[in-house]
Amino acid sequence: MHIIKGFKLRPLGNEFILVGESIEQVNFNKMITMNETAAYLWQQVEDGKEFDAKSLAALLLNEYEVSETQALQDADKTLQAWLSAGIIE
Amino acid sequence: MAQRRYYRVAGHSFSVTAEEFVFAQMSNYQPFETKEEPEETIFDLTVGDVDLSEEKTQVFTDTSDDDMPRIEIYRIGQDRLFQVSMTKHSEICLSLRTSEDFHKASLCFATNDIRFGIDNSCMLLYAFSTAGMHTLEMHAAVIERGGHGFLFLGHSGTGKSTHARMWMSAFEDAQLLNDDNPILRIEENGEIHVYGSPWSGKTPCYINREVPVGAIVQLAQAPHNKIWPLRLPEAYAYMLSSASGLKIEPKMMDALYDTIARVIQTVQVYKMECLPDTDAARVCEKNVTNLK
Repeated sequence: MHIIKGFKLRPLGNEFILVGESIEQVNFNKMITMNETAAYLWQQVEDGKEFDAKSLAALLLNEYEVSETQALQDADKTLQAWLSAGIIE
Repeated sequence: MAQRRYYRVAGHSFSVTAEEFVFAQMSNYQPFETKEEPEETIFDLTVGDVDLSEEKTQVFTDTSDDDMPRIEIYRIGQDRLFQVSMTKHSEICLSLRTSEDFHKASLCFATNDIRFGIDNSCMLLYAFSTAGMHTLEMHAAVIERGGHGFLFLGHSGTGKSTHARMWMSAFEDAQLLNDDNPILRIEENGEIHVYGSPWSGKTPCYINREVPVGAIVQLAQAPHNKIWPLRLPEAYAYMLSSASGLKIEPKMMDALYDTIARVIQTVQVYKMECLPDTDAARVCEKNVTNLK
């Protein structure tokens, strides 16, 4: 998996939003909200590097005090949400 | 003989250099004309010839809205070229060539509708050149009442103007400040003010006045009248789609984000589902004049 180009992550209050606001995403009329954890993961992969649930889980384990099982569960949930939102491929 | 005239809209000055017959079509700018030369201008527009002899590279075509003018964007060296058609499928009727920073611009028409050419060029230059100055050129109708401005947002045809008229029917002291393109600014003291402009859609309402913003309301048609405050992400999405800007310019989007994020954390944005009736205005007023 890697991110689809042209999205910008922006902080808003205590949340984050992902907006399609470049030439690649000019017709992307959705906006995705992210909590701090999802935003952290996005920032780690927004340079376009390849990732999967496992590597996202590893990123979570680096940053947060969670069990391996929990990290993998959260990573998988996030990945599925991103897939259905059409912001990764 | 061409002459130069100066205008000041929401505190930003610009100039137009043109022949008398062009100014004759610009009565909507009169309330904004200033006699003295300003210290600085956000843009200087010259109406007459545009040098289109050099090679142009297409950057982008804006086909987002069927009933809106179509804009094609090119580069000529460092300069930008905007070519506009009245509707999505019609012929190009104006060419606007600007410097990279939008400051110097020249315009020529292939249309008899001088007003269309001037207004669209000035609105485009205004929005793009002020984006970094905590200024938003909005697509909204604005009612002024009790010393505050209330902005109504929504897609074309949602009933922004209608809802504004319902306020005027429901409240004797409600006035229309602008019907289509007001300017929002973050003032130096942090207040958000809304200003009238020379651009007001089909309604001739060119008022050179500012008021602090009371509330911003996103409208949608419905078989009932219902209003609720929006959380920041939704408020942001609606504001972003109602503010003019060039999506393909990352710097401009950064500026719009910065301004919108501050505006929606200062002023409450609401969503209202409404009928085109005076009861809608009363329901709206009751809610938006309560808080903040």
